[in-house]
Amino acid sequence: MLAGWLLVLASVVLLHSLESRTAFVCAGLLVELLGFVLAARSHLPFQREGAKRDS
Amino acid sequence: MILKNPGVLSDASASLCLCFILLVPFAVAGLSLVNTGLNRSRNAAHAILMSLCIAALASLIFFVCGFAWEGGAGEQAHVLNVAGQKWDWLGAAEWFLRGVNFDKWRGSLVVLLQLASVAVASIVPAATASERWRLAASCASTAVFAGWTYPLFAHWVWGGGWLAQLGVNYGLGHGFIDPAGASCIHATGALTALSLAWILGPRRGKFTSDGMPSAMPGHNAVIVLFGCMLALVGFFGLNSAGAILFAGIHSAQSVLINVNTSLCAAAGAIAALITTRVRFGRPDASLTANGWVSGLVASSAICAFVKPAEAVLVGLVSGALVIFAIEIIELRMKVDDPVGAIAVHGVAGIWGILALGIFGQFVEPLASGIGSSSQIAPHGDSGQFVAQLIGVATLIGFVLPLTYALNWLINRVLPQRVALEGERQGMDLFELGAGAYPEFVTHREDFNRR
Repeated sequence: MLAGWLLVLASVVLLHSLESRTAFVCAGLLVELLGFVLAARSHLPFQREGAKRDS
Repeated sequence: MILKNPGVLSDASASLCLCFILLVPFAVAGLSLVNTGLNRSRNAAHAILMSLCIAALASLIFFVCGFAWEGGAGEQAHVLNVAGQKWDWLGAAEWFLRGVNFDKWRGSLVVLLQLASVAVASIVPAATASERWRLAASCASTAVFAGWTYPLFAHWVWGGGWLAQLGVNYGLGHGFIDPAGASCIHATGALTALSLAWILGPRRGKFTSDGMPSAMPGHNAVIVLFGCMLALVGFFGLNSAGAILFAGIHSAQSVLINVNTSLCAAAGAIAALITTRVRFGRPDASLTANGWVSGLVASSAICAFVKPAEAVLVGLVSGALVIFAIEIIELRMKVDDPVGAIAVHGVAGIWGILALGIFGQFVEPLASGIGSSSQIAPHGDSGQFVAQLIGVATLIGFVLPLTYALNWLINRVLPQRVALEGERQGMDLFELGAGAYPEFVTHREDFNRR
């Protein structure tokens, strides 16, 4: 999620045209979304309980 | 719709603004009642006491250091120089409100509004974490939220920070705009709520062993719906005062703001009612209440910049959206949110921010220190929409990891989840020693026979 945000910040600072900024901001948001999905999956309660049982 | 240079508030405008701010505590009261009603009866006293404690503590911490870090547009701030542009990232005012001139209207009204706003933001996580969040831990988490997370993001949006300056520095419309806190208050609160839900885990018995959620209905639909009505009054104040103070809207526009707020909430409730009727066969009271509040949350972003018909559209979308969001959060993400606060405040808040980028009309330059003074953003300006997207990206990409990390650290020092026995007994008896409704005790059959 932080990587996606840094991508968004970089696009604001480094790019100048609105189109390229829009594209990179959307790309950054997609990266954030990916991070969000991974974070959500790692917090599934049954996964955690299963991991505990396995250990 | 019309953005004017606020300059110095006239006595009449300032008095009106003061009246609006005095309505904001009704939002705290309304949301607290919604939270309490959607909890089970054995946790009711704890839920409402927690809301009171959190509101009180948030205001105190904000007085100590929060307002200093939030600062105001044009006031002292910590600034970074990035590629020739100034990035204002943190306020640098004096602690304990020492730098505030209470002889002037604007500064003192901002302080008063912020003391109430931070309370509204802080009770959002309490809704999600209720029935399993220890009172001491909730106070510690609130102190960090009101003292750091909220002021930091509020500075970026309301204090002339880098998000607000995206228009001046990078030509993106008027910069990120959120006149009444859809992002600063609701989305930051909801993201903190999500991180707490992840850290605390679900309530005991919420999910079966195969991962299916079981219903744990709230104990009092009447106070939930009464809370919704009370919240409307609070949002009248919050939206109007926020728009006057943070977006430089003329006080004469406050009628339009309140019309939009009412319509957005009404459309949200009706959309939720219809959606639940179609999906589940009958209307659901608690989800309809959620639709109402989601309309209020979305209105916080758009209230001053759209026409009434557009406010209805935004409310309809938010009311329907929140029903699906609640389902996804519970069924797919397996997050236990007893009140639905993550969807109501987070999803609807983000929708409101984006809707402002789509429907917002800015006829005159925004010159309140939160936007460009040289550009006029037409209806559906793409630069403005990109600025709103950057705000959303900051919420998800920065605020969520930040608030998760802070709450994770608190949890290491002061475990946030109540002991198993506390969940079994109910938070009222376990933490407070008395229930909310001592005269309505359900006796077992063998007790009655004696």
